Amino acid sequence: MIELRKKIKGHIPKQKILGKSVQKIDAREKATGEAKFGGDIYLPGMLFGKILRSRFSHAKILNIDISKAEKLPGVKAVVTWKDAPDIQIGLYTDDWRFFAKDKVRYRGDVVAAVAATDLDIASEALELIQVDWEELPAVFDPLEAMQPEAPIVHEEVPDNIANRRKIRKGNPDKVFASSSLVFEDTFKTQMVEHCSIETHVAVAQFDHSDKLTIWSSTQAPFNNRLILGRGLQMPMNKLRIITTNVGGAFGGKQDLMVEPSCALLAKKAGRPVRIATDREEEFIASTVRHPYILTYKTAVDQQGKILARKINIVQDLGAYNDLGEGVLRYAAIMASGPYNIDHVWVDGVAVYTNQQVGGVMRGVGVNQTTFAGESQIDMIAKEIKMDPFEFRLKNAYKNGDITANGQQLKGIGFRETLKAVAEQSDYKSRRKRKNHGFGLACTIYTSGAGGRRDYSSAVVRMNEDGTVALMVGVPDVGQGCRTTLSQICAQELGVNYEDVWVDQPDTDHSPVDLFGANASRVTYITGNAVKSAAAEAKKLLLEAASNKWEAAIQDLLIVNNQIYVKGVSKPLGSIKELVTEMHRPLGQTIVTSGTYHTPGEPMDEETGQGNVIPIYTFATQLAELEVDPETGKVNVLNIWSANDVGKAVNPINVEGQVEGGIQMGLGFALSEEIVREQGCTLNASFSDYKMFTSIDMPRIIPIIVEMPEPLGPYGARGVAESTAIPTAGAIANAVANALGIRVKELPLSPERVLAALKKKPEM
Amino acid sequence: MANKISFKINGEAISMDVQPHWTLLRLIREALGLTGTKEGCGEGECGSCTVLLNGKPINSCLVLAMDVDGGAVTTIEGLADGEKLHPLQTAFVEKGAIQCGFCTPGMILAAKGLLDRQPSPSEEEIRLEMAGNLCRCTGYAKIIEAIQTAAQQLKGGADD
Repeated sequence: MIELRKKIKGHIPKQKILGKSVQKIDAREKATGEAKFGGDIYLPGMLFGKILRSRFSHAKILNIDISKAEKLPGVKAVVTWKDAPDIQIGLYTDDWRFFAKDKVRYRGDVVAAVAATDLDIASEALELIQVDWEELPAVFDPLEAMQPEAPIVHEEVPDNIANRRKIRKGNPDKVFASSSLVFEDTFKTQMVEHCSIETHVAVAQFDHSDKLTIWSSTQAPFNNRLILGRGLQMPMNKLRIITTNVGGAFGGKQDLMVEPSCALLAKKAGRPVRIATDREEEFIASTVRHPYILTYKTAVDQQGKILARKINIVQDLGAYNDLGEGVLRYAAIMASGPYNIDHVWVDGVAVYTNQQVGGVMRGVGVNQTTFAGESQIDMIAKEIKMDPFEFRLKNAYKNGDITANGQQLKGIGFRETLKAVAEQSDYKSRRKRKNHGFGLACTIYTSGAGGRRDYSSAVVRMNEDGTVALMVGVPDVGQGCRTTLSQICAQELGVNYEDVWVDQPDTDHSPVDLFGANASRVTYITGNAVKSAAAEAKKLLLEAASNKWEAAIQDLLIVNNQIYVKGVSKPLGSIKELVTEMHRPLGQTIVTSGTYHTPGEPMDEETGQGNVIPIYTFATQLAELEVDPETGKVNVLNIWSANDVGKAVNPINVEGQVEGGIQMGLGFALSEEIVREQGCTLNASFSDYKMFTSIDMPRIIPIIVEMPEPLGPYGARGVAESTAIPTAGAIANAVANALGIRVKELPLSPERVLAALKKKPEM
Repeated sequence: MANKISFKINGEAISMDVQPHWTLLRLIREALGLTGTKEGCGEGECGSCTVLLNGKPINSCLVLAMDVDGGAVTTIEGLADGEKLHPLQTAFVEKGAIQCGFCTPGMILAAKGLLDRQPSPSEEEIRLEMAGNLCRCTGYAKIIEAIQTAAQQLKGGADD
C-alpha cells in the first residue's frame, strides 16, 4: 500500500549539486601520481634546455659569442636575440624582449638559451657562452630612481616613472585643514615570491607545417598565446598551447618565463625541447610581489567617523612593467579600505628600477595597501580610545555606499564578516595574557578583472550517451575550478556531477579566455559563461523532449539526467535516450556556447572614477598570537577568517582557499622576504626563504559568509585572493595589541619586533 | 662509467646500469619513467621527491642512485592495490587535502613513513614529521586531517 502511494504521489528529486563538497575531478589521479605536469611530458627525441641569465643588474651587451657552446658534443641549438623577431613586447607596455639585445636591466634577463641531449651538457654549454658586458650604474631603490640624476632603466622613460594612478573623491586637504585628529604614517612592504612548489616548465615542438605546440604549466594559456604569437610573429592557428596540470600558480605562472626560449630552441634544433627553471631561478628571475612604500594620512572626528584619507603609493616595478600597471590600479582603487569615506585621494607611481620584476601575486597590490591601511586603523582607534572592532563597524561599507572610485555597492556582506569573526572567536570576552594579543584586519577586493572589461566563454557538448563535455579556457591551478565549473554545469543542465568532464584548456580546442586563472574571477566570470552554455544546451534538450513526448516545454524538467513532467514523479525518459536518438540516425550533436562579460566602464585617468570593479568582495580576519619578548619571535595561535563568498559552490574548496591563502598571508606578515643586495638575491632557496611549514601553521577557522551576489552564478563570487590579503594587517595589529609596539615594515621578523621593543618607552 | 645496481622498485626486483652522478630522483623519473615523484627544488628542501627507501622516507634528490643497490624503493606508483587506493590516498582525496597536487605524492609517502613507524601519532607528531614537505596551496590543515583519518583507518578503527 505504501509502495503504491509512493509510486503515485512520489516527489520529483531536486538537482542538488551546487553547494556540495563533491570529490574533486582530478583528486584521484593526483593522489596516485598519474597526473601529468609539464615536467612529466617526455616526447621522442626531446632535448633539455637551460637559460643563460644576466650576470649584471644593468649592463650593455657588447657581444655574445655562442660558438664554443655550439661545438660542445650533445648541444643541438643555442639561441639569442638574433633568433627572435626584432621587436619589444609586454603585457601593458612593450618594454621587454624575449632575449636581451642591447642591454640587460636585472639579473634575471634572458641572454641566451641552450638545448642539449642531456641537462648536464646544457648546463656546461651555458658556461661556454662568452658575453662581453659593459656594466652600467644601476638603481635599486624606487625613491632614488625618481631623482633627476638617477640611472635610466629604459631610455624611452627618462624619469623611470612607468605609470601613475590617481583617485579623486572629494577634497581631503580641506578636511585636514579643519580637523584636529589627523594621522600620518608611512609603511613599507617587502619583495616576496609565489613559491609554487612546481617551477615554471614548458615543452615545445615545432614541426614542418610551421606548427608550434607548447605544453605549458600556465595559468593563462590564451594570454600566453597572444603575447607569444606577437613576439614570435606567428598566427594563432599555428600556435597551440596545451595546459598541463599546474603545480601552483598564485599569479606567478602567466608570464612567459620559459616558453619563448623553448619555442626558439625547438625551431632551431628541429626537435622537441623541455625547459624547467630550477628553484634558484625562481627566486632570482621569476616575477615577485612589488615592494611598496605607502603613506597614509587620515582624518577622523571625535566620534570615530573617518572623514578623509589621502594615500601615496610608490611601487617598485623592477626592470619591466609586466602586469605592474594593473597592480597599481588595483592598489589605488582599494587603498582607502572597506570604509565609507567622503574624501579620498590616492596618488600612485610605479617606478622602474634594476630589481627583480614585479607581477601579480594573490592580492595584486591590495596585500600591501591593506597592511598599511589596517595598521593605521588600529593606531587611530587606540589614539581616540575606541575599540578597533567598533571603529571598523562604524565606518564599514554597507549597501548603497559609494566607493572611492565612485561605484555604488550592492549585495555586499562586509559587516556580516566582521560580526561573524567577533562572534565565533568571542575574543572580546577572552582573557588576555601577557605578551598575547588579538588583531583584526578587513579587506575590500574584486572578483573579476578590474578597471577593464572582463569576459569569458564556455562550450557544452552533449556526448551521444548523454554525458557532457564541458570546455573552458581557464586552467585549474589547484584552486579546483575544473570541479566547481563542472558543478555549475551539472546543476544548470540537470545532469549528475560525475557525468560532466572538463579538461585543462588547449588553445586549439577550448573557447577563448584571455585572462586565465586570475583576479578571483573564474567562479564568477567563467562560472556565468558555463551556466549560460549549459542553459542553452538544456533548452535544446527540452525542445527535443517536447517533440518526442508531445509535452509543452514549460511543463518539462530535467533532474539528475531524467526528464520529468512537472508534478509527475515517474520520469518520461532519460537524457541518454533523447541524445542517442538525436545522434543516431540524425547526426545531431548538441553543442552550445555561453559567454559572459562585465560592463567594463573605463576608469577616468584624472579622477579614477568609474564603475570599473565587476564585483566587490570583502573579508575579515582576526589573529591571536603571543610574542616571546626575549627573541621577538611571534607565535600565531589562531586565525579566524570570514569571507563573503556569496554562495559556496563547493564548501571544502572554499575552506582550502582560506587555509592556503592564510599560509601565504602569514609568510608575508612574518617570515618571507627576498633579501637583495645590489640587485643580487641573497636567499635563493627554500632553506633561506622561509615559508610557513606544517609546524608553523596556526589553527585556522574558516567562516563562510553567504550574502548572495546579484551578478554571480547561483549568487557566487570569487574568494581566492581575499583569503591572503588581510593577514599581515591582522598580525601587525595583534603584535601591537600584545606588546604595545607598532612595526610599520614587513615582515615582522624577530629582529624588527625586538628593535621596536627596544625603542618602546617604558610604560 | 656506468655501474650496475640491483634493487627493488615497488616490489619488483630489477638490475640496471646507472651513472655514478645520478640521483635516485633522476633514476626514478628518467630511467624508470615513474613521474609521480616530483622535483620541486633538487636541494632536499621541499620534500616533493620523497620516496620510501627500505621503508623510510627520504628526499630522493639527495640520494645517489648507486646507493640504493640492494635496497627497496617505494614510489607513489607502488601504493595503490590495483584500482583500490591506499587509505592515505583515499583520505587525501576525500578530505580535500589535494589542491594543485604537486606536493601530494611526497606528502603521502612521508605520511606513510610516519604511520608505518608510529600508527597513532599525535597532531603535533604529524606536524613535525611533515615539516620537511612544503605545500603552498593548502595551509596543511586538510593534509593533517587526512593523515589522522588514514591513521584511524589503518588501525582498523574505521569509524570516520
